[in-house]
Amino acid sequence: MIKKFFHQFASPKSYFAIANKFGKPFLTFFFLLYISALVWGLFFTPPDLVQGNSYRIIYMHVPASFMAQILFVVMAITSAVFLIWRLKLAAYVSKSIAPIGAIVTFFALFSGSIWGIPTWGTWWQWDARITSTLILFIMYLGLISLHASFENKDKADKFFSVLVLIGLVNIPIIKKSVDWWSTLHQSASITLTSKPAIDPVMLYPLMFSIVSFIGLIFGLIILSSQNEILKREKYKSWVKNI
Amino acid sequence: MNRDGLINILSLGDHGVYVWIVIVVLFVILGSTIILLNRKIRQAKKEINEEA
Repeated sequence: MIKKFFHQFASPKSYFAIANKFGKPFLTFFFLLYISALVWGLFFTPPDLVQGNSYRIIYMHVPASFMAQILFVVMAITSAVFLIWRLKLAAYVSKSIAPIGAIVTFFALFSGSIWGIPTWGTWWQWDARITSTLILFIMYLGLISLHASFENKDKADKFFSVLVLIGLVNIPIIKKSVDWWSTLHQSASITLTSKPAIDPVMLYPLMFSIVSFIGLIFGLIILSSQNEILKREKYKSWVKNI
Repeated sequence: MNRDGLINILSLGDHGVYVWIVIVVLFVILGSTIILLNRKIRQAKKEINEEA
């Protein structure tokens, strides 16, 4: 009975109906919330003693870097769900995360590079954190290309999901890269086990920007998954009635 | 934030130019992604309706 309920709730039709109704308000809400987080961080916090105003990139770079990794983990979970329970919706969501993940990872690399110019005196360094994030970006692109290269999309979903689970090994490497190797990139300023190394005046808008950015990106994933469902289910009778 | 601080970031002083570059790129990326996805969804719905 639980399995039946789970299958019904997780059907593309049920998901699409919910996403169609709440997707755009959800995205708009978090978009506005993120803008207010940026306004707080940009205009209502003092400049850093050493970095001046350039530290304010933190309100864009940190949420993007965090989400670049989280999205891959979410993609791995949905891929595992697809491989274990054969839920089509899980494969659709997994596939629709990949382009958003690539965009977010690109932005994390870009914002980090720009931040590096005034802070490190260079926009690029082949250090462990930056290189492993670049590998993450290439993996996202590789997954998108792999899926697009298959005519048989069921087969594509299987290969895609397996590759995502293999690629998951890169996430702890990114996370621990600053501890395992001597890197130009600083170690984590916010951890679960120790006191944050950032002043609360800068920390609170940072936390606010991270939370609102998470919502914003999940809003984009809802849109992206709607598009994926329409593409993949276009010959189903329920789609013709929307 | 006081008036001097606001003028400092708005006038791109003290490396503020890098912040504005990142903000512009972020909103270009976010805006174009939202527009593109909305357009694709609209187009897909239109095609489905035409076929039906």
